[in-house]
Amino acid sequence: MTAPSVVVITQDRDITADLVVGELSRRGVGLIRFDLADFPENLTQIAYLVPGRTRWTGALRGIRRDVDLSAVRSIWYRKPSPFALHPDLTETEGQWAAAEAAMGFGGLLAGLDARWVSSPDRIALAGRKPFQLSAAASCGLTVPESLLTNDPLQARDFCRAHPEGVIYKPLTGGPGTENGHRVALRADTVSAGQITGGVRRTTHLFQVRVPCAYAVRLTVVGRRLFAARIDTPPGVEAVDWRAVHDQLTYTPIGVPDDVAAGIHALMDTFGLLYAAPDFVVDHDGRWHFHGDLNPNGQWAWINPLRQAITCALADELTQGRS
Amino acid sequence: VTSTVEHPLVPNLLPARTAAMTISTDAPATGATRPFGLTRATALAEGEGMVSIEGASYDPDRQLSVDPGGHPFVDALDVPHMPTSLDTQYDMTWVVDKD
Repeated sequence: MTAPSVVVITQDRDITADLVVGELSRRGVGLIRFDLADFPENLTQIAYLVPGRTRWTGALRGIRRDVDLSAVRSIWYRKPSPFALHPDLTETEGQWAAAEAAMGFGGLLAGLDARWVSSPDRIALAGRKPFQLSAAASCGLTVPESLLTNDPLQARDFCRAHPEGVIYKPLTGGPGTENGHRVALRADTVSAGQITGGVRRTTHLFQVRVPCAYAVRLTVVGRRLFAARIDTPPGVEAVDWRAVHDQLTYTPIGVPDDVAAGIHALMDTFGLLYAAPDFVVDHDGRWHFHGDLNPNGQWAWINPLRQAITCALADELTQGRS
Repeated sequence: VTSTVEHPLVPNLLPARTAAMTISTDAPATGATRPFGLTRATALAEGEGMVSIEGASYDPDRQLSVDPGGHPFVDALDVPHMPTSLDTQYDMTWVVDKD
């Protein structure tokens, strides 16, 4: 039996990954799926770098199947959970063990001669919105005027200088939960009068609001682009369409040539083979990038494009080494 | 279970999320002590933004989730396919990631 050539790193309960796993299986592609949480207690790492060889050889031995390191051609880094360490370790021991695993296990994977969709360090770097925004501007994408500050006065001045509207946008998403509740933190409009001294507490991102005719979720797989126009029902207005997710409709659309060129340049800048960037399209048809590159964003929720993206990801993972 | 060590100025080389979410009971600070961004946070209703994949179980042989009949869970017509996130850092919301 041929050793698996595709590795999928994600949680067991990631059913979006199941779509691609199923497609690869239908194509007869050998794959192995594991979670970072399998390491170190349920996944054994055995890797040698021997004289005369320039690559690590060996295996990752799981409970049911093994990864032959020399056979790996592609790795899909999806949505893993963290390393699961022995429960009896102290906090100090656990932190040290986790750091060693990140360097030793992650470093081994990073050094394999494999095609990553996408490399986790590139995903992490590309997730930094300020870098995204400046890189996007350099790549020719249209970016709204933006302010990064922890100065309340600057924030108020920015709002007053832009009577057309300003949005506040979190850089890392919300805290998830607080005060006994799950909480949402979405981009939203803000006025000078609403700015508090709490801006001083950390970095805040403010952007000039772009009049939105409709939003677009663009899914990029390699050099292929899948764009979906996102519309809200008449009478429903939301700065952040996530706030009305259940009411959205999606229509596949084409991508203007200048936007396509810009996004490909941005993907190359970060070395990504996958991303799911968002755009706002104004009433003149101009696409605006607000810093939502989503270098490991979800995609299966876009019903009309789900199968095409599934197949594109399978294609990308079977192209062989980069 | 302990997560990876993170340093504020060093990229996390292996981005990951825990499957189960603990509900924080931290009470918000008041006045200007409260970071402005968090003043825009809103509490979600029970179940809001969550997706249920009840009935699915992971089949380690086929390496995907299956329904009680053993069929791939994602093959069902009415299976939820993961709405996008309330949290845009990794734009990740699936059933075990309820933020």
